[in-house]
Amino acid sequence: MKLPVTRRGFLQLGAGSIAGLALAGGVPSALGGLDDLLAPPPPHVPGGPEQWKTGICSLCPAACGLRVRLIGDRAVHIQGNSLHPVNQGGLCPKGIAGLQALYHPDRLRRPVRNIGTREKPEWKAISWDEAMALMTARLRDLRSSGRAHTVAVLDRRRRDLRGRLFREFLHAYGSANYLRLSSGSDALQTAVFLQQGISQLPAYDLENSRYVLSFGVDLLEGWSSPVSIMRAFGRWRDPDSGRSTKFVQAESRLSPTAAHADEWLALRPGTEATLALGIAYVLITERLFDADFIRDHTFGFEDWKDAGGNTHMGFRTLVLGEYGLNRVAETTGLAPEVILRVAREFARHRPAIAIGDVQNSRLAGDPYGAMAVHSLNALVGSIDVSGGVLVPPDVEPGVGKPAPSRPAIDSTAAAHPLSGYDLSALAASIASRQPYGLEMLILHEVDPLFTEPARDAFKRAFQAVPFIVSFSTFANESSAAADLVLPAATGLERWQHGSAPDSFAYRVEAVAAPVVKPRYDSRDPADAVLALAAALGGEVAAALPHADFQQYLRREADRIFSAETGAVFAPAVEQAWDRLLQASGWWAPTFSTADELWAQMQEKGGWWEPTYYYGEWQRVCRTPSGRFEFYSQALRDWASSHPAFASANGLAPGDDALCLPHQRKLPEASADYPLLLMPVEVLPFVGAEGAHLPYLEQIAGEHLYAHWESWLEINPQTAARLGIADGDKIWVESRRGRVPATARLYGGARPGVVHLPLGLGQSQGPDWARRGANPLALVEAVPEPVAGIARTGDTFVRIYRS
Amino acid sequence: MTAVEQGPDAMTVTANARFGLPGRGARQRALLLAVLFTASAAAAQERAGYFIPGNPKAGMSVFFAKGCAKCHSVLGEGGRSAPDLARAPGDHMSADDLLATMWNHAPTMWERMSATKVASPRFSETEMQDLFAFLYSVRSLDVPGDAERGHRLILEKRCLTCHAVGRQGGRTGPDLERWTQYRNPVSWIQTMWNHGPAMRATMAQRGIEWPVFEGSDVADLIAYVRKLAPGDRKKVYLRPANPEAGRAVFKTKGCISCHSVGGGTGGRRAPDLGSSTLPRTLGQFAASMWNHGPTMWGTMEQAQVRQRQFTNAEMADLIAYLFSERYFELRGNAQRGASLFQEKRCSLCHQAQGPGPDLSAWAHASPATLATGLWNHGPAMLERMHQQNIDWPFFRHGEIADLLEFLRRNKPPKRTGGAP
Repeated sequence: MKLPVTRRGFLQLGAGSIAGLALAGGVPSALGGLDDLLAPPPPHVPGGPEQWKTGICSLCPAACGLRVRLIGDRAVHIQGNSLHPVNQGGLCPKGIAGLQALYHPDRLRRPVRNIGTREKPEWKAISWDEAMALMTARLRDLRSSGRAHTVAVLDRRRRDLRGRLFREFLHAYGSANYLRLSSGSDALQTAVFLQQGISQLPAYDLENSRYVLSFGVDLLEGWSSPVSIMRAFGRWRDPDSGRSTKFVQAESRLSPTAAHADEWLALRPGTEATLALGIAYVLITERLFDADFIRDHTFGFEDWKDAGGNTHMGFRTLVLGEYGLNRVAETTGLAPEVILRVAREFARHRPAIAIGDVQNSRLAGDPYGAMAVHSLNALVGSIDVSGGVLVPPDVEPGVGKPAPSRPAIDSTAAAHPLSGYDLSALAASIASRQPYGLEMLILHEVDPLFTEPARDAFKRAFQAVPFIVSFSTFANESSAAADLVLPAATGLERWQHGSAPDSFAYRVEAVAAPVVKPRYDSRDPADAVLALAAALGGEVAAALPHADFQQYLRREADRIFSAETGAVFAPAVEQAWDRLLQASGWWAPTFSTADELWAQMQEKGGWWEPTYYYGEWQRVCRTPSGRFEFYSQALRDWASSHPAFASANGLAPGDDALCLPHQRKLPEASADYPLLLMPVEVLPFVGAEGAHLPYLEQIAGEHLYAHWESWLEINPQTAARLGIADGDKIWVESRRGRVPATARLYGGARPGVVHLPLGLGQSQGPDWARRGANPLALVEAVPEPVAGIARTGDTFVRIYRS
Repeated sequence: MTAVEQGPDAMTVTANARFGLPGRGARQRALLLAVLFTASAAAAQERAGYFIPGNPKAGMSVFFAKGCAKCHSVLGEGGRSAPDLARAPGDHMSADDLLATMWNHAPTMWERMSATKVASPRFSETEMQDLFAFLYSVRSLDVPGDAERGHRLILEKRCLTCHAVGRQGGRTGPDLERWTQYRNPVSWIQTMWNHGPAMRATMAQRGIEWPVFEGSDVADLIAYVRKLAPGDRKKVYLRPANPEAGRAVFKTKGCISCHSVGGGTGGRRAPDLGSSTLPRTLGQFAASMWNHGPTMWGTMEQAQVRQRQFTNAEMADLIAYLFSERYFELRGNAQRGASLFQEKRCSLCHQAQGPGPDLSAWAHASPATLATGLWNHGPAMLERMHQQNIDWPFFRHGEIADLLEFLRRNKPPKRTGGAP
């Protein structure tokens, strides 16, 4: 965004002050001195000694370990940390692009406050002291007037210590409103909760699996930790390992993942549950399932009687009754012999994994479908075995007592058996100020007005909150709607912490000191929160006595020391040694004091627990039965007390299918909107972030040589029918509106289905990010009934040349 | 070498095995170890007390760096096309046995390497020493047990008559669930040992046979109990043990009054604890102590000797000491060695007029040093033997020790030249 400068502002700049600069439009993306306006800065040629430092990537939740090369105080190169157990020296393009994020010319440079209105903002640059005083005054006022519960933090779903810090702050302050956005894995999370009773995502031991059956998961793109998944993919074909692993991708689109799979099952979109249950049909009828596991560790496989003597349908009856091969073939569009063969392979190449955690398919927002896929793991006994589905240790300590007096705003709707996922309802509660209004909302490096399907609802919600603070490194749509925007230091400029990514079975606590000093006047949001706690004093300060995030991390390191387990990051062979010892009951640390541990964590990159403990069933399954539940008793309890739940699922009250995996009814296209739109997440833009970095823009659509714009993938036959040629500029229109795109004919797109990449189309922020269109502007995100997760794959569109 | 450089392990590196000790003391002990190791090949073969030469952590690096892991695994880490060297063979192996096994399989390995176009690695003495230390250490580790088998055992051994696991079982003894935090079978045996006499009396009253544990029994029982436990307890491990301290425990607890170790000082009333017939892993070794508990306590009672209790660390140190001793083979029999020298046809090459080197230079070499020679010169030796129609000799347990004893005492006459 070019900087519109008034005469007054120009003169004030000339005087060396930017305090009175008034701008029309969004948050200034770069507020610099006079020289910045008159001439581009000279190229910076760094000088000074060379050094290497350890860092942690912050460009996606995987938090890969980094080694950063500096010349003087300038970071010039990023590569992976070979000692980090997750990425083991590898790095994906996002990580490498970290330098572009660090030295981006459009970074937010100093705190700004909106002294105008939300409709017509006027941004005034202020100091951090002023910003903190503003926030402290508000917080103090709210707390003293008994309204502490009206302060909320909106964060992404994270497992690192930053999230815990913000939760601790809120808890000590007196609010339960630590609110989190969707992660893309919400359907799987829900399924695992219903079937295993655990509240964290499972880990998939892909490297040791013999057969990986993926239902649309973008394994080789952005899912979980791209680097560690690609490493596992390489090992599947390693002749030295003495085995090979077959990888089958069931997906309607020929994604890069599908293209690299051993086999691509091009099923109809939205029929993943049917395919999974069809495979279950084969396993059951041919007795290929693990009978011992079913007998010893599951509930609800067979029909069963409740305490009142009523018989309930079990999984076997459901599958045999409704998912016969012919019907499955007809529904999915796959040949019956293919389904038969894949089912037999899945059963015979153990350990096998079925995985269905997706953004890029209609399984997103389908917990029943995710349950169907996860049921396959139970059928072949792949729960809690090497090469199967593992349950990482849950290491979250509590945030202290007592609990805040008012419950969180998103738990009072009580519309679902599981709360915390219905972001539409959350936004509606905030907008309607029911059951209470929020007075202050802190956005912790999130941009819901851009990234969330329920963005319109969040827009209305923002309007109902009197004071919004945004911590962000770049201007974005949500910060443009805030009242106070605070520039966040990047991951290379602050003390950084990284946990294990979802799908990694071991506990990881990575730590890195700042690699470079913060640029401009940016700060670590965690330091800011700790400063707020200190300024508030009393109980809040006592609960968080740490001067900065470094001290907070040090506390965690001391806890790790007390646990007397695990090992500091080390070369692979040493890691294997630590694993061998620990699995046998020995612990041989390289440190003998807490100080030594802290120093080694910084030097090597962190600490981890290298051993997975099998057989701890009370950790693996926490359902009412203590077993894997094909038939979810949690759903049964909910359904019995909420009659509307059945009709919301299109079922009759008391129907056992409510508690079992099943294929949901799929909406159909109409004459006006004949094409199904399925947004896709591409690696460079994972998390809807990355479009502001040129490296990533350049490689976004490599399979089509498409970049720097939104491309619409359309099947050639469909395109021909519509008179669309490759490269045509088109409009893509749904009931909600329309966006522009460039048509790209792609044989990997199914006839009648089109795809737009997520992550493009920002309306605020860096120039490079303001290209293309946001598919979420088209998506009709209907919350599903179980957890309220937004379904993003049920939107139908039409396209025409512009 | 400092503690961090050498790295800890369960039995070896006595100098640095226990962390938390003063750095200066650790460096002194490291120096002592280094002196002992580098003293000479001759010294290395002598029983340098209970010091096991080599660094097992470095040895694991050697295992991977030299390509052993391309075919072999150790407890699942590594390749799958050759045996898991931590599990096979199943019996205890001293350093001599490791050498013999390596020797016996060497031709097969070289053949396989040649077929797959992999160059046979060369080793330095240090590398081989470390590799031996690694293989010896890793073979002593207990693997996690089988919970299903553990379930059968807990019923078969009637543990639940007195002990509960969670909600099921007796209340005479403590609930075993609270022990699930202890990850090491040695810890379990230590607690059981301390309570053994009381348990013995109760079992006798109830007509319960003394449970004897073999193989993976203890690990299996622990796996079963852990399965029923919440699993979120802090896990307690044993720190690397100190064989030097274990030697002291062996004396102070009075074990030495009945047992000797490797034919050394000690009693003769009870078995020599350096015997190679004793179990392979640390946990199994501790379990065998339990198995003989009633006999031992009975003997102690008769001798009016108080039954000794152990702390966790003491039990670990004692086991480590005994394991360290077992690394070294008992001295062989020179007479048998002489027969072997002929029988294995070593004399054809390694004689006064033979083409092979004078083996007297190797008479005092450690098994690891000999293994170094095997790998570095073996392929050429094999080739020569094929040409001369000589079978590669196969060594059984003890034969290496006999051969070396023979060589030590009977140096072959020096060659004065001339064609073989």
